[in-house]
Amino acid sequence: MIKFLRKQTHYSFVFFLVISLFPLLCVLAQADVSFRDVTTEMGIDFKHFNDFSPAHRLVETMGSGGVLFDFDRDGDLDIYLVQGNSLTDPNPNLINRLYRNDAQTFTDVTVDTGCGDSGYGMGVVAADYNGDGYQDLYVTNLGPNVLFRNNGDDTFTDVTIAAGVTCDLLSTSAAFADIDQDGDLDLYVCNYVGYSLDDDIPCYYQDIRIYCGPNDYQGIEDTLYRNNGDGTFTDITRVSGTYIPNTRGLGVVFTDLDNNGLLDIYVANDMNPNTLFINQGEGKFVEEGTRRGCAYNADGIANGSMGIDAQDFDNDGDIDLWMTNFSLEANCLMVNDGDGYFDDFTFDLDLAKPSFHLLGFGTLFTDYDNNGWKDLVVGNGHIWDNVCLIDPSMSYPQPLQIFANFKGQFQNKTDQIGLDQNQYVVRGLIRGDIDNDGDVDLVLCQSNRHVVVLRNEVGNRQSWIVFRLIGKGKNTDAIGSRVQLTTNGITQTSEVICGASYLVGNDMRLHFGLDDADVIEKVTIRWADGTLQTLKDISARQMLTVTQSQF
Amino acid sequence: MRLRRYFCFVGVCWLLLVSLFCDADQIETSPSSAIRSVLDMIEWIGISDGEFIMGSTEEHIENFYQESKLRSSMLERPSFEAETPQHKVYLSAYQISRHEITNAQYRVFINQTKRPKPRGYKGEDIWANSILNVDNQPVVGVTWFDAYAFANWIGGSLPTEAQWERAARGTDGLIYPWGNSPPTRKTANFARHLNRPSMVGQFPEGASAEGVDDLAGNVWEWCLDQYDPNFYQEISDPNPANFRHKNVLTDRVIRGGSWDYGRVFIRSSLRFKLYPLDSTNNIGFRIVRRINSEMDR
Repeated sequence: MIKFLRKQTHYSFVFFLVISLFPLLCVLAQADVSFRDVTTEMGIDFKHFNDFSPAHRLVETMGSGGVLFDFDRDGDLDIYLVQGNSLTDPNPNLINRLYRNDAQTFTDVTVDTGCGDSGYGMGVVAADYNGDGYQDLYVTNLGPNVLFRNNGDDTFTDVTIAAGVTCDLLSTSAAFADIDQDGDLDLYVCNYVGYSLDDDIPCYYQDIRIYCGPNDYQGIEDTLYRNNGDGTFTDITRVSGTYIPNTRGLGVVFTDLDNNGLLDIYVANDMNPNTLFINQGEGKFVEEGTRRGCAYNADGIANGSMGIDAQDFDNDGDIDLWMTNFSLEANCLMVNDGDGYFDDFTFDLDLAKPSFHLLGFGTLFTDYDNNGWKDLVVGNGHIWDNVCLIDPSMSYPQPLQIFANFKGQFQNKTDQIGLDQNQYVVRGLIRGDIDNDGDVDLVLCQSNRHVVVLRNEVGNRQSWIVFRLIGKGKNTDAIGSRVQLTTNGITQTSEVICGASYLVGNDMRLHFGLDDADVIEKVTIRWADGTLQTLKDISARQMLTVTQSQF
Repeated sequence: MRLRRYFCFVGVCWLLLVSLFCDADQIETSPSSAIRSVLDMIEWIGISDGEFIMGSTEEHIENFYQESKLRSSMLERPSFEAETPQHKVYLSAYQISRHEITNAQYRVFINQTKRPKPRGYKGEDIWANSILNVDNQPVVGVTWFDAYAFANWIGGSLPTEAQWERAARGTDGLIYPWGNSPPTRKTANFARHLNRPSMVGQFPEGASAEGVDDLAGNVWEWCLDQYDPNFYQEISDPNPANFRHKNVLTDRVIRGGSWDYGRVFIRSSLRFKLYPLDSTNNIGFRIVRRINSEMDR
């Protein structure tokens, strides 16, 4: 009897212990670090320089960006980061930086590779514009942009003038895609406002010197270049139907919004209606942003749009749009009805309030927790370093935000995963699987601050797959190709997109979170030229390279 | 300046009286062929008599106000408080035009009565603008007096605020004519999706349960009532309508939002106002009439 009682006491103690520790375990689980700052341990020491001055010159607050790409084709992502410079006395040694990824330790190879432009930099994208299998770089600047051709031997050559893509304006984001299905990559360049240092306008809030708003400067047109297939480009802005004067382009994405197999162009403009150029084929476009419901938000307002991304967040087979906006404006989620018409459901999906007092720039859809639903990441940071003097409810550095997506409903997880503990002044926000471990890491390009690399520590606990598509012909990056895959009754859709976010280029491999699926029943690839390919019963948790048939 | 205002006021009163007498005369005689031709173009929806829920609760307006702030609508709290208290209202049966009055219908009226053509805020000719002058678009650029005169000419009336809200919200106090789901491109013309007034009846998914079209968005609609933010606090009678202000130029109620206004403004219980002599490219109207009215026979 006594023995029995002792045994019962023992069981009671264990039970008591479990009950007592359960809340603690829950708390520990909730405090799980999803993203860890690995910048220093990876060897990235890049600090952006914007030549901040009391004069608050417009361009100081705009940059900069960077790109994750595999310049040496060794299978991992290298990183190129864009630098500012002195606006009055440029320093030739203050240049953009290329870091090579050597087993997650990055080495600065800028000088050896010859891609260190010293212009006052804004953004950059990478794509194989000449079809030699190596990704090249297009850098946007205040003043002449630069096209660096990747020579395939770990060096780059500035071919800007010969290629005819100088675009001597205040350019911001850019993107490559094959608009006319002739097999090579064309180039869209966003241009912001007519600006030169001599024309800089002093702006004030009461007697506080601030950076000017977009309406203080005349907007200018963006530029669309057609690739001639011989290493040169032709400016086709006016003949293509994409010429709109007085816009203030900051973000751009090529994507097939009306599901007709042709890549459309969506541009985020700052306080101008966003523009949607519907591809008519053969390099012709018609602007239909207003008609299709994505020029203005649900309040009929043309937002101060900055960053942009385009993905199928609700897994219904079409591409939706997401834009970050100025402070005191909610960000904007435009939901595609399947035919390329949009409704603003930002408020209905609880995405409005968390963004209202923040100023969003770089932004991404990405399935950070690999649950099969694309989440939203928003990089914030005000343009006014002194914003707290103007509105005490706002701060200059601001938190990175994550909105977790499950079945098309978003939940703000920023605090829960500890991202509220750090404040950043984000401009470019880049996604990519830097350590090739099956989840998506982040790079934060800050204004006048150090770049930050955040490694995803939780994503690959769930299943995943990464596709690297190699297109036939000159579009070796397979930009514009669309992959649909089905697991557990859910069909995900994703496109190879060059550019997006703000001033950056992302990892162009397609990453899919698969929840608990071990096998993908069916994968359909719609290659950029429209040909279809189907794969069946593909194992999860692998990086799969798929090469388009040459025939 | 005072003298000028006085003559302006007297002039407006004179015009109003003339139009009232003219219309009264027409109601008593058989309708002219012009009126008959317009009546033939109008589709009527019957609204049965009974009670409905009008206005909003404190809790609702707090939510609407907070959302409105995030949407940068510039609407202040009193605009929402004017919707309270939520109360039940009894209305006699009436008919309401399924659509807003169109350019084609209004042209007949203008030709017949020689009233001024629709004009914009600065007096510009609305019908000279090709995005506003299509026959089947709602007429815009009409003052409250224009709309009132048309309604009388046709033998009807502008809807009272209560009649308008009953038609839009049904008896259960819906947020929008189609229900409580958020507005989309398929339910209403708003937020500059089309950047102009649409043809009437182009949003069947946005119709009310009884089949009245375009009550949310497209064009603001004049109501009969003078605007008084406190009116809901003081009414208890059936068939309420507010004509208590002696000044004929008191702001009038407008409802429903328009093509260039955002989501905040197309909510069916939102009360808005406009100076009755204002005419803009987003203000139109629809009409009501008593069931079994003279004109119906």
